[in-house]
Amino acid sequence: MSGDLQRMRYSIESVRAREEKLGAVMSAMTAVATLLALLSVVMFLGFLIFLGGDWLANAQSATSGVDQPVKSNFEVLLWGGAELAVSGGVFPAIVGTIVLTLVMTVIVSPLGIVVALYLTEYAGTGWHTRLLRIGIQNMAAIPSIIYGVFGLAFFVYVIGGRLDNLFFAGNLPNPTFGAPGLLWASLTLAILTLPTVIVATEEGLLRLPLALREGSRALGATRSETIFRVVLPAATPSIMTGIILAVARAAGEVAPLMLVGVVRYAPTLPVSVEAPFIHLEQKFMHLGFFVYDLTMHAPGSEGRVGIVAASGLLLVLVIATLNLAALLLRLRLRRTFLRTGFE
Amino acid sequence: MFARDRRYLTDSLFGLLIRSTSLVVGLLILGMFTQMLLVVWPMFAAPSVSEQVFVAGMEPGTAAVPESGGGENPGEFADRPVTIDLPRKAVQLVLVPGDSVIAVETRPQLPATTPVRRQRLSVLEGAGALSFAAIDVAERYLLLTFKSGIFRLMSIRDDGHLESAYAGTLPAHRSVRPVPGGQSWVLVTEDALVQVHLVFLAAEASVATLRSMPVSDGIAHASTVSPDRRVLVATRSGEIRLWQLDMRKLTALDGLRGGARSVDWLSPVLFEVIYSDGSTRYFELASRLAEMSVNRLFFPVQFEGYSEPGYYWQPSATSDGFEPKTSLIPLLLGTLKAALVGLVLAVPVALGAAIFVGYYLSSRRREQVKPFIEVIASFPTVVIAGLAALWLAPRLIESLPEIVGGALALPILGGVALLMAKHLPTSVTRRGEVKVLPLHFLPGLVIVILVGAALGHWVEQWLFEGSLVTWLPEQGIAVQQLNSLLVGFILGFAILPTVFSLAEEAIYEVPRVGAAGSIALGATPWRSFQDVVLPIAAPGIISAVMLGFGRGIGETMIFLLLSGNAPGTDGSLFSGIRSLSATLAIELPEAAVGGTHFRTLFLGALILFALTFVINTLGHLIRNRILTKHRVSR
Repeated sequence: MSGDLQRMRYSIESVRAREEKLGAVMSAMTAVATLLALLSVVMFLGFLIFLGGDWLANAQSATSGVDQPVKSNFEVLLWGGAELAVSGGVFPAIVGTIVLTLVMTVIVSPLGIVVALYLTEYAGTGWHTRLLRIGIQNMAAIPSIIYGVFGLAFFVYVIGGRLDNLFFAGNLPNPTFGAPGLLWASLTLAILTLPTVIVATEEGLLRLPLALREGSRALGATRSETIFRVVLPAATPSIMTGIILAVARAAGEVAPLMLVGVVRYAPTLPVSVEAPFIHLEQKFMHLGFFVYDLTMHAPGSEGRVGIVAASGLLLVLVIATLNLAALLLRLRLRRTFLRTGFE
Repeated sequence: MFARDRRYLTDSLFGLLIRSTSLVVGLLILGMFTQMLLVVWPMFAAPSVSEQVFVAGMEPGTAAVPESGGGENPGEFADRPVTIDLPRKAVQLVLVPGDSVIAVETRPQLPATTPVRRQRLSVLEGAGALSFAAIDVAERYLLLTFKSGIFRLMSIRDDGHLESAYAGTLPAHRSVRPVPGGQSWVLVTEDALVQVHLVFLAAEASVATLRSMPVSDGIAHASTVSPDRRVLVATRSGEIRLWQLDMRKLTALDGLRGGARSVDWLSPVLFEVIYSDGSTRYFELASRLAEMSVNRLFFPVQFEGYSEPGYYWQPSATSDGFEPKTSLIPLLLGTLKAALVGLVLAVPVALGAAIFVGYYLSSRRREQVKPFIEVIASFPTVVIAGLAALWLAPRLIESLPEIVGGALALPILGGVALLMAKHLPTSVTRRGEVKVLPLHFLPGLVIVILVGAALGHWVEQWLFEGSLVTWLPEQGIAVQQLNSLLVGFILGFAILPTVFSLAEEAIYEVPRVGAAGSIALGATPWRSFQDVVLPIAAPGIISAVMLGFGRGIGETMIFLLLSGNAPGTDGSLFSGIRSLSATLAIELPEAAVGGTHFRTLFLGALILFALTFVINTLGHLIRNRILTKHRVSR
């Protein structure tokens, strides 16, 4: 009898030991996977900062003559130089990126807010609302190049072609809006980032307590007055978050732009000091495409790492700043609502 | 009163605005799909024909378009000598058919630069009358065909002297029509059109049948081959049919009167039909768009000059008469191959990290660690790909054994070390909640990786004679610097945050009650995870992997910069690939709007769209079901 007990205890203990070893191995594996994932982030950022920073810190030495002042590599990157093999440098590309995202923001913000308002304030729970939600969810995951293809086919050739026939027939056969350009690129990016804005805005709207709306309606305000005076002001931080996230996503996209208007080199900036100030039909330069172009058409590949890393670093910095702003806004928003007791 | 009315009016107008805008956005996805379908559709539609009526005396004569026009067929023998120009060799061949010999004169194009050479070729026994002579586009071979179907292929020396290279039999035919591009010809027999081509089999030039198209009613007359590779046939029953050379069917043209006797091209779209009553009418095809077939897109097709059927993507004409090759298979395979490699590399890391962060790590620490992995999603892929193309690409294959060694060492060496250990880290085995990142693993991790890398290096020395880069080509495996392994590697990095984030959420969302209960009953945290949490989280994890895959196949910049953009269908990890997305980015801006190439690219986009749409919808459906099922109990 005691022998059986002994054997049972022994087998329980061996099972327990085995289980513990398995648990230890598996948990250690998962920990290692986490460390690896973090390590890959650190390594990427490290390479970017090390290679890019190294190149930026160096000054242009051999190419500048005796009587010319020695240019720092930062200036070369910004304004162009012999080493860059791209005339103009990164400055017009930065301007192009900024103008593009600004126009995109102007288009996407009202559209995204309106759809989010519809989903939270107006729509019921019918099948068409569900379909719309699935559609929006799916839009976020459609490859960006598909948006470019759509932008080219629909915006440029269909809408742009019509516009040309209607208003710019004098210029034909030279296209005005019937060719890839800033407006169509902004529209394409606006559709691309639409789900981002919708989802963030909707999240903010859903977080607002129903009592807020009911109170406003009880005081006699119409639905639109409630939305404009009560709901939207309270949801502003989350709307801002959505817009910033959209801008951050748009700033890093290159593939769709290649179809709807980005060029290696644009002779003029898309903005000017004279009316109409902004040239929506022009082609433009873009920071992401600048990186692509430097990489793709690099004469001596190895030596170009520094320049590519430096301009990539610039792009990552822009996007990181935007993301950080969104993060801080979200934190502030959460604190605000905690204070007012909304949550 | 008025003010109130205005308020309500504003309200309802605003409501209308919101509803209609949402409707427009809702229709947008449908619109994208429809737009692509509209562009793709005409490719599969049968060609339509309209009659052109010309004022008497203004009919387009055959002389107006001599190149593609009917009438005399250059190279065809009709009781007269045939003259063939060889502009590259600056000579002219004059062939005079005789009873048993063919007299050949080689004349310089500029008189009196070189003397005229004369040569006699014997006619093979029973060959019948000489029907046709042609040279290939490179002016290296002269093809002589006889009515009986016997042919001789002569190689042309630089001075124009002919040497016998090959002889054989083709179907007996009435006449021969050259195909633009100068390396294939259509034989018109009694009841079939047979395309033959110049092909090199084992480095020997020969002429072989490429495709044949039976005409059930028999052929009364066949037109020349238009620049778009289309032949019109007047059948014995008096109907007109169209053969697009690489299609496997004859297209009946509607709207034409019966009783046609002969038919010929006047331009790439305009053709004349002569009826048996002697009248002539003119017809025009609606477009120059080549008809597309599923066969050409997804199945192996044998092309001119190729000895075997295969999958090729060379859709645009590099020269006149180029045969477009539009198989989407290499692009699809390339995309899927790299996405799968990326998935294989990313999923273990992503899921491991998801389990650790979502299950083991304390909620507080989780919120701090999670964004650091998710930040990868905000890195622009063009920067990742750019750095990899310039820095990693030259190093990857060279250091592959070390990388593989280091990666394999992690589970093997790490597992062995832990199993051997007497004292286990109890914090992760007993309590199941980790408050700190196990940074004390880091030195051990580095050591294990280094040992693995050293082992990999040693294996390389021992198995691959010192260097994988030189060993692989010796085994017949071509190694390219930009290859699918590199793409997969970087793609894995790019889809890591997608898979991680979604899988982590799926694990974290599972109510902890069950796991806590099982731990209280004495199970280890891992056992509780495996038996309690994992079954509930599994669909969410599967959907995370699916969404990661969907993200991978749609990625463009990584493919564009790292894949080498060379279409291929082999399974090798060391050869370059070309993806659908990169093809769209490269070729769409340059394709002629509305042409076959343009529309084929849209078909590619449609396929990519549909593929990601299906994958994502499935993934979301799985996910949403799980979330609604378990959210309540949390």
